[in-house]
Amino acid sequence: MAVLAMTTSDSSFDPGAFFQFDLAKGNVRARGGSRVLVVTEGVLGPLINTAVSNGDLTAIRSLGSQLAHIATTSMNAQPNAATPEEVIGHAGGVMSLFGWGRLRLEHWGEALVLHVEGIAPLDDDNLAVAALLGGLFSTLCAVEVACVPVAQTGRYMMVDPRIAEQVWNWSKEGESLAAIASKLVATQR
Amino acid sequence: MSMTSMQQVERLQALLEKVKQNRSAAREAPASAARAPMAAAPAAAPRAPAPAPAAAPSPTARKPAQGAPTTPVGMPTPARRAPAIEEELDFSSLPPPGASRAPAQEPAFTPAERRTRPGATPLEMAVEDTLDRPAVSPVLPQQPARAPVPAAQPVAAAAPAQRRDGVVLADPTPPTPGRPIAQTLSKQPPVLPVSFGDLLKRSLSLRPR
Repeated sequence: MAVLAMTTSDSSFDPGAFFQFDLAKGNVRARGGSRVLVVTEGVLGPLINTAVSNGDLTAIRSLGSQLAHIATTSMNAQPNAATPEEVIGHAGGVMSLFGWGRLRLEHWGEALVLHVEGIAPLDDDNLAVAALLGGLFSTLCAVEVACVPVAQTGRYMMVDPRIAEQVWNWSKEGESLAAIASKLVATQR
Repeated sequence: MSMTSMQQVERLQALLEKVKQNRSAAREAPASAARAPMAAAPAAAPRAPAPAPAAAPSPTARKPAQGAPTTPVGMPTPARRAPAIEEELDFSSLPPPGASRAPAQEPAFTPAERRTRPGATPLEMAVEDTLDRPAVSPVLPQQPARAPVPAAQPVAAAAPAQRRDGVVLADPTPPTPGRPIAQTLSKQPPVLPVSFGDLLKRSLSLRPR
């Protein structure tokens, strides 16, 4: 199965002066004016684990939506009409600025797979990153997208939310990404 | 060597008679001479007219019978049988057959260094090259039997010819294919640039089989 990958190195995203630090007022604002708080992994991890145990990752998903808005404003075209390199470049650039790792896009047959490197696992099943990616690309492409983590590999398969539970079960059963991709077939939507 | 000229003439005449006798004996037994591999040319000699001893032979008849010596210019000399040759040759100036010659002390043989002794007979002049030639082969540059093939190196490293330890390293000739290189064409259609929305749409259309 051929795998094609593209990274944020192809990006035309400009990270210059993205954050503005106002020491007099004691705040940090991102490009666009939204206020951000800088926290460490040691603080964010327990909060995410609490959210996962409660089954509510809405906050993380909304963070992904905010990152998508920032990426969209930096792009010259609509994300759906843009090239994959441009979309991944801008989305990955914003994720890197917020410290959520390095984003890559892979093709596993017909399936799109997001690969996130450089971030420590915040929860056991990587559901926090999956929620962040789901919110990010759902907002970017204006379509509901579920990003299912596959076998602790840092890879997340972008599928329809209606089959996300099935893919998640295959992953929990130990199926490899190639095996899961081979079990899927494209249909007319 | 106090022979008078008359004695020398008589002796030459006697030798000439011996030559005639040898030739007549050779004509009487041509079949036995034709069996020898090296006697192919002399086998045709009986058909050719025998050259007169005193007249200059034609170029076609220049080749004498087997064993007959020739002068350096190709003139046939009075044929002599082996015992007669040994009588006339003076081997006193040659080293003994068993004497070893150190190659380092001997000069390399060159035709210009012929040492023609004064008073040498035409026969001696004819075989002088063979007798005086050193028993060593011509000096050749010391090279291995087969030049070592250098290991695969970048093309730029072996570009100029280099002499290294007596081995000449030169550019190998560019390899030529034995047969035309087959052109492989992919059966898959060329990849057209697609938008991220199209790719995402295909991925979202995936369903379990």
